[in-house]
Amino acid sequence: MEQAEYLPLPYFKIDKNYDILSMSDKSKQIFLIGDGFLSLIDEESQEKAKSNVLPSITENSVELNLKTKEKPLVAYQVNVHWYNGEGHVICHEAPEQMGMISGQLQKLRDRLEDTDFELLEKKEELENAVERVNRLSGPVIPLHESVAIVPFFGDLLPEKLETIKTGILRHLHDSTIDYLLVDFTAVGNISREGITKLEELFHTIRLMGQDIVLCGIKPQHAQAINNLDRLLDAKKVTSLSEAIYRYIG
Amino acid sequence: MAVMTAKWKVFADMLLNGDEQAAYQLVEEADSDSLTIYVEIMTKAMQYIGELWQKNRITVADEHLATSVCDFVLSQYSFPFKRRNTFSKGKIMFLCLEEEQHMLGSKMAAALCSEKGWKTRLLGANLPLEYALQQAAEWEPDVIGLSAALSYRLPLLQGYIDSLENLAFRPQVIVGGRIAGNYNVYKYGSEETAIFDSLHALDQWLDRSRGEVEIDGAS
Repeated sequence: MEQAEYLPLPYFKIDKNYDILSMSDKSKQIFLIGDGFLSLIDEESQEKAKSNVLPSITENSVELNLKTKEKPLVAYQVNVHWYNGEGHVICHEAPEQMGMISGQLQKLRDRLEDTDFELLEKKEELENAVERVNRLSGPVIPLHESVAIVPFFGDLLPEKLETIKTGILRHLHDSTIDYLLVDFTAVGNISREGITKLEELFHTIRLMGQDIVLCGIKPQHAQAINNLDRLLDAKKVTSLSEAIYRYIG
Repeated sequence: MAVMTAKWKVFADMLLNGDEQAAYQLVEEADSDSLTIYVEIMTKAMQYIGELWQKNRITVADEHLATSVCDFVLSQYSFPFKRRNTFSKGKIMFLCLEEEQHMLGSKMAAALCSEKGWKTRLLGANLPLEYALQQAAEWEPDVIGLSAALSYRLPLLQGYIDSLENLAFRPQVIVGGRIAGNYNVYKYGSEETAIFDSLHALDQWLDRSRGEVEIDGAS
């Protein structure tokens, strides 16, 4: 190959002892040529080179870290073809963009990752806060040894009622309460699923032997509560103060 | 049991396949402490992947992918330790030398420190000395961890150690990464520099130094 010196890539012709027989100008330009082909190769890539660049493997392609004039370590794709005991070697730099792109990807990923985890953390915080708000939205307040009041707060959603239910039942279980005043004064909306949950709750309370007195019902709740009422036969009182007056006073 | 493939090998295959969910699940279900996970699963898997490259069985691109996936799994695994440490054992900062891209080791070290109650900052790969100095001066960590892999960076490492140890608040400089296994590394640090050739060594040092830091660092 007469014209090898003009090849636009680093090219080496080597023998089985890794002695360089000839090379392209590009090779001289890029590499510090020392004692043989192995002298171009980074120490940690030496073994890899020796086991991949040898006459018994006629054709091979291998990534090696090479020492250039500019940098002590650059990733190269090295292609080898052996013919008549001579190895023809072409080295082309592993696309530099790949390193850059993977670096950029890494940065983007780090950002996303942080955001992802922060969001997860916020979500957890939020769930805990909602759970806490739910728990505080239906406290059982004892007014008298036989009377307690449960003021509901906010919109009555199924999850909230489920949380409240647990608290109420635990409280009623070991108490002497006969009448439970359920106050709707501070209630916003009641969803359809909320009604079902409410029904469940009231049923359970009655099974435990307590009477339910509904008070503070607003006109917009009346329709929904009315359906419940037919099922439950609960007592109803207009306002909380009247209820307290009647059951304690 | 004898035929069961080692966890790190299974983990390595998941990394090479880019299967971050399976890899995370494996770590989650490993039923081991963090140190064991970092050393026996993640480090061994990454070493094995390095060997595969040496054997010309995989390309650099495969290695990049595996590294990214391992990094992701590590982030996800160690995230809960990142919470604000109110009763902190001290402040520790990790960085990799300029042009050093091997950051998994320092990330594992940082995760270990967070878990042990240190306030931890991980500045990541490829940090030029001037930025390292600037960050250190602003935050004043008790300990600064330097990480590097390749031996030819030893002279550069010396510069980092020198400048950081001479900061006014006198931080303790520690060195880890593959470079710490080089027998010459001691010549490049000072008498104060601590060199750890494994996460286990760092772990023991953290436990030993805990008392001291609490005495002069606590409120």
